[in-house]
Amino acid sequence: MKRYLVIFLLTLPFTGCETEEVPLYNSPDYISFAIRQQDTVVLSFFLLGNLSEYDYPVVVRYTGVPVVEPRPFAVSVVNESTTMPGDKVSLPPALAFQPMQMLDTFYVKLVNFAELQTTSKMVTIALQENSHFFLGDKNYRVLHLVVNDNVAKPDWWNARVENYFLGAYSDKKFRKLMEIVHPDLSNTSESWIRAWALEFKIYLAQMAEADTPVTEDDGSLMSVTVRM
Amino acid sequence: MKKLAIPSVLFLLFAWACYEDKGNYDYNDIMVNKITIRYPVYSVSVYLGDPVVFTPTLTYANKEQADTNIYTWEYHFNYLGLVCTERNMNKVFEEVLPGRSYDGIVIATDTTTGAKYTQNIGFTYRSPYVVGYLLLANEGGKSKLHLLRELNGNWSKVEDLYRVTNNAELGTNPTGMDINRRGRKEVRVMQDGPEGAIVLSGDSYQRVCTYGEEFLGGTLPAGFKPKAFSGGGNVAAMLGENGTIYTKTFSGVYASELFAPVPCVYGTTPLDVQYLLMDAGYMYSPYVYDRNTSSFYLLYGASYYYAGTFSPIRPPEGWSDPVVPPPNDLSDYEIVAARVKPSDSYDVTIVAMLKKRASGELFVYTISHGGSGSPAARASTLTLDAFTAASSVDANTMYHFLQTRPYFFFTGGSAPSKLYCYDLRTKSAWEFKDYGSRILAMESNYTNDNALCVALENGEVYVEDIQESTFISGEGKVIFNASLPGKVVDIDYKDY
Repeated sequence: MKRYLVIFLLTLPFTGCETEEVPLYNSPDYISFAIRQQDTVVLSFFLLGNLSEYDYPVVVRYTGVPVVEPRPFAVSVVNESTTMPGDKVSLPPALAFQPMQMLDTFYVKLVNFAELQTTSKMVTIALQENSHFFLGDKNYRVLHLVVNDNVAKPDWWNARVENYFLGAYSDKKFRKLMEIVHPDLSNTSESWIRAWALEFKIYLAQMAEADTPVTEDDGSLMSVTVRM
Repeated sequence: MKKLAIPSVLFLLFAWACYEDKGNYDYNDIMVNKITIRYPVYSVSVYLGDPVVFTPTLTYANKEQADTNIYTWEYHFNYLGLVCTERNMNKVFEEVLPGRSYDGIVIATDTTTGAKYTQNIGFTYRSPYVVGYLLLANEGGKSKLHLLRELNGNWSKVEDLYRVTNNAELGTNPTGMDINRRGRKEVRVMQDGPEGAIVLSGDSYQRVCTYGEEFLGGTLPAGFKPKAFSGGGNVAAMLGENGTIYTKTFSGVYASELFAPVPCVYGTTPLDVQYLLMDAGYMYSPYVYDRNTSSFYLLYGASYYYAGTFSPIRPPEGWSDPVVPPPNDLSDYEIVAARVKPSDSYDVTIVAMLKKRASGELFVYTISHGGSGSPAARASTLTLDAFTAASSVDANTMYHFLQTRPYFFFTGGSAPSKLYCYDLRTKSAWEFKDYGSRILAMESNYTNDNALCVALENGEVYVEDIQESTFISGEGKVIFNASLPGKVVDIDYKDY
């Protein structure tokens, strides 16, 4: 018995010499939008700077092992849930995910038209499966865009802005301000608002002097409160 | 036993009378070593980093008993406590605030009698570069700041102040300097070199920002070359060499907002500003003179609500003087020089040298304005007097109006080394001094207007006594004289 025990103990160390292959990660490749389907994106041509057309950036996410070659992916407009006229929305003819990246961006071209001032239109785009990509998380496969040219009183146009810079709010005044001054609404500090108001004040005075005064809808002269 | 008790007590009582009192009932004067503690100056100013020195001299009431070794000494100061127990104090304080007054008391205790003798003293630490005449000079194309300063009656100069404080070059091609007495209390240096116009801290002379960084967008408007700056209560203005003027408004805190890159207009007429006037540290609103409309304007800054309003200064109600022109229509005149003389935050007198376009005659014009501080306030009085020393001046003459006194200085036309003084009350001028070298710049200490700093082309700088007594005596008195490298471009007086 003792002899068998010795033999067993002698053979034990040799088990450490066994080699085992480590399996490599080999997941399928998935693609998805960076924005959740439920998070509908609202775009106003007016608030974007009174634009006639706009290239909306859509971010797509890749899940898988990065590869060195660009790989095509497919997106389409979902006609059933799109109310935007076909000639007012377009996608790039070919899309390819950049190599060695986990995020990429493509652009949906949207064209402004008169009806958008009074109504909003929906654009729905969806990712398509192809030979390179499976579809990723089901909540991130479809993107809804609500597009309009609406104007509304922004949060920053508060009582202080009324008193010191731009005066009482009206949709017409806001549209005119955007048209003439082209303000960058991403920075609404008082210094910037004052600068917009000064430029707008000069414009209004020049229009009045040229006998082409700018008026509000009720016929009164459009004015701002900034001092100069 | 009881029989013995009473006789014993009685015996002791009688025996008490035999006790010899060896006490001292003489009156000794504890003030026998009385002293009076004196110092040359009881409240001294000291530059940061320098020692506070108090060296007393003692006056003895009883000279026969004078002994300086019988006293212990204590120097106590507010905020600091007991700081010295030597008779002569010589101590550098690290944890003190510049500008704060440290009041104290020195106590000498007579160790033989316990009597205490006291004297009140105090000291104030000053930043070494805060007060004095600041001179901007061009030295071989380089911008240099020099300081002439006075402390406890002693004058000294600090050359190349920016290098002293920053160990670096300030910049190149200096053109002018302004001091923003409101807000950040800063020194503003304008230069044509690539460094551009920059803002320095008024205490440390560290660089705060560039003029461009004070604009929205972070750069100066295209083609704008700063010429002058003014900071008021709720408004600041920057004037360019081309006459354009930019403003910013702020609710009391200068650095909270940025300049709008929109050139100011009146109605639709672009302003072509020749003068931006605001020299004292107490005015709320700057004034400007606009060549396009030939008008003086108030740039309102007394309240945030109206801040930034340009209001033409209108003549008094019903003004119809055929000789004295209204300040909102000076089209018959050129403005040769102008300065504002504030009497408080609202009320000012603008003094201007006018040249009649048709005849070339020179006039001293004054506008009294202010009162309510309203943007619509009219001038209260206007005067126009012939300048009686017109023969002494030409187009290159420099003028310096004193802010608090009825005089102004001017340089000679054909004799630019000569300095004249003009009395606005008597309307007469006299030659103050001939320096023998062209006068490049001058500035007075505007808070008192009793000294005038004059910089000459030969590098000499004089601080002249211009007190009334000096005028009366007719003998000039130089307070300080120094030689400085480079050619002085501008002088400002710093009082904080």
